[in-house]
Amino acid sequence: MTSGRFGFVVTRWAVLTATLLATSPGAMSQVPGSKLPNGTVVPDITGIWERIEGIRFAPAGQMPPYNADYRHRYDLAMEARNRGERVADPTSRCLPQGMPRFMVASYPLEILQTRGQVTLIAEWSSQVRRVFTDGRGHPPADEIDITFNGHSTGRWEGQALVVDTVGIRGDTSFDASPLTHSDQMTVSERIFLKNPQTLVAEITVTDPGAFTAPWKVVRTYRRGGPDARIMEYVCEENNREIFLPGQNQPKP
Amino acid sequence: MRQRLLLICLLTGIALPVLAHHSFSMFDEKKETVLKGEVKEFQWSNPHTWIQLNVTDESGKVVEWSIEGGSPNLVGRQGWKRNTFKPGDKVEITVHPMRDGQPGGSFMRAVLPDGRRLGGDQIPAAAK
Repeated sequence: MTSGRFGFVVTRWAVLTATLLATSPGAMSQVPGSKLPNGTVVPDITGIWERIEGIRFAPAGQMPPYNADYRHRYDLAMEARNRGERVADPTSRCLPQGMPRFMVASYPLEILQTRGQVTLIAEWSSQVRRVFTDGRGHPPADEIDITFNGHSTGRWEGQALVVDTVGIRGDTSFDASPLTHSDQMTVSERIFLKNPQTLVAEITVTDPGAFTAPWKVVRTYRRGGPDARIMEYVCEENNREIFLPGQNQPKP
Repeated sequence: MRQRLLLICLLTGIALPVLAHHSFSMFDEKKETVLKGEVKEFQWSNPHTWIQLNVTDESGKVVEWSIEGGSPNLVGRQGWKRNTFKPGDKVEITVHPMRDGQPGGSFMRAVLPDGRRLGGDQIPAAAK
């Protein structure tokens, strides 16, 4: 009798849990091939993705729609560089690339799809981005931790993973050029398969502090072959770069 | 001597003009210097590989050159291995030398002891 009652409780618990799993977006299975309530079958973007374009954030070297202030900063930095001065790139000190440079994929990216989360791993300096697809929102703006990769939430819209990233540090880089941005920058992405071997990230950078309009950049990646692997990369291992204090900061 | 110089620089806050790993502006990309020497050490490391090469100059003095190569993550995918250069190997390496005349440069190409050639475009900005 006791075991029967226990079995009943277990069964009820299992049914309740299953119901919660089915209804809570957080627990919904979002692994490749699973079907979402809206009918979308989650695309398989899991795997290793290699950069096709160069290492400029905007593949053709396009400039962001800078306001006069940030255009001036950029011009000053370029003049200094052209004079032979070293305009420091934060990554020279082994600081993370952060967003949006992460998506340049200097070295390959690995994407993992698990329940409620898509994880992007960049080989360069072993960086990790976690995109929460469990339905949660961002923390309140005045509480959010300001980080290199920011806080990313995502959802599947049709065949695209739509990602919204806020809480990004003001000093992350776009690439090794002197392009900078303000601490008001946010990034939204549409990440989708063009075909099973080709991944596209449409990256829209919005920065009311530095840009006069959103800046849209499209980057493309090819699926790594059977031998593709992510290698270890510890930038601090043997960095011979030496900076004086403050030298890594963008010049105001 | 080198360590003492580094110590002095650290104590006095003077930046030792070492080789940058991301800005290559300290290398003269218009110049090529051919170095024939003996490998002292091959550092298979990030963010860049380094070949320490002992080169004997005309006066018979041995000068140690620091030659910056691509990251293992880059050149490893181009076929380099951590034993591509071994201590004692007699090799010829062509570099873009440092502008300030220090014995350093960025790797362009090499001829290995067995005559194999390692070609050249591994390093430029793509090494980030």
